[in-house]
Amino acid sequence: MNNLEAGWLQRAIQGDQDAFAYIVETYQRPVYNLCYRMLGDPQEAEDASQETFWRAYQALRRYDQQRSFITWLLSIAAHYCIDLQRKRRFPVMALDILPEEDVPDSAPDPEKVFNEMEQKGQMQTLLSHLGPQDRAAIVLRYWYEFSEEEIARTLSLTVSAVKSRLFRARKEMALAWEKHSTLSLPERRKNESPAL
Amino acid sequence: MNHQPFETWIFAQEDLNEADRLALQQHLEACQACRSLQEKWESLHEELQAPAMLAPRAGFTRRWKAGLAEKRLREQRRQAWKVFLTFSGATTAVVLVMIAYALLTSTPAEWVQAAMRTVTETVGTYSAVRELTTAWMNLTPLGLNIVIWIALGVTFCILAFIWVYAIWRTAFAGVWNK
Repeated sequence: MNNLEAGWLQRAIQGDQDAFAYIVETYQRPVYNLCYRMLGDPQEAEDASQETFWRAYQALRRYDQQRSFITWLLSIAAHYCIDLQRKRRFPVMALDILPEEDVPDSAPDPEKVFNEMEQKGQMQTLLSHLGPQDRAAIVLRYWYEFSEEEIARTLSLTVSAVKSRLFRARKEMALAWEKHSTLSLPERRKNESPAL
Repeated sequence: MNHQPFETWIFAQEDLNEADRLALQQHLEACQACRSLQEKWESLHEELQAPAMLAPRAGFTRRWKAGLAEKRLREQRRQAWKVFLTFSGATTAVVLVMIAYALLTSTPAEWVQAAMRTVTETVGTYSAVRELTTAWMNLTPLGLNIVIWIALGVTFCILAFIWVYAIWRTAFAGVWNK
């Protein structure tokens, strides 16, 4: 956080609503991205981001200024999304990010397959295989480049719990992707020439 | 085939010493499952080095401001209800305790008698106060009477203002503790 942002934050803590609006403007993207990666639906992510800023606004006077503001904000968002997912019990995925039935006609080049998956929002499909806390740990590690200690602080876990969750999440994602690639291969044959 | 500790080494993302690295390499050459898993993870990991950051629809801050006004109003209403229910509950509880106490310590005939006595005393007190006030106003000069009435009026207004302000503070102002 630079000096200008720190100044806005001070004003927001003193009750300046416009200053808090500036904070919202500045941090909307990281908060929304975390919510989207956690929930997998644009509208739910929007609602969760709005709720995150509302909770931050209410709790602003309790914010410990020794702590990083973005870590604190993302902690609120992550906990809110984890609670939401625990409440609804069943994973929900937006229809527009479900795997498409059209199959690429290229050879099974892993990098190309991956790029296509990302383009179609299928990174979200991989994330959807993970439990809420494992997903939060992965998103904070790779999208926000948080260290294991920062993830532990953000999710209120121990460092060893974070390591174990990251390990499990990486393995599950690799397995899910392996499964996805395996499923794609036999389907690819239906587009091939009969002569082959 | 036992895949440990090789599986852990693939996903733990920690630097291995030379001996472990060699052992992992040998295992990967022999184990198709671990090799496939490692390849998948490596390509995934590469992509995860620069993942896309998504942004909300334009106008997020404007929507937040609108939502803030709505939420504050809702919170104010909720708090007002909370205060109202607390006062009502407390009053009801006190009344119920008084009724229970009266039922345990006296009979209905005694209540009627006490009520009649109270009404009679109240009427008598009112008459006495009216006579006293009239006598006081006849005895004192008109100017002093006006000053006294103004002082009483102002005092009453101040007390009423303090009362209304205290209710407002308790019911609404706690929502945003500026």
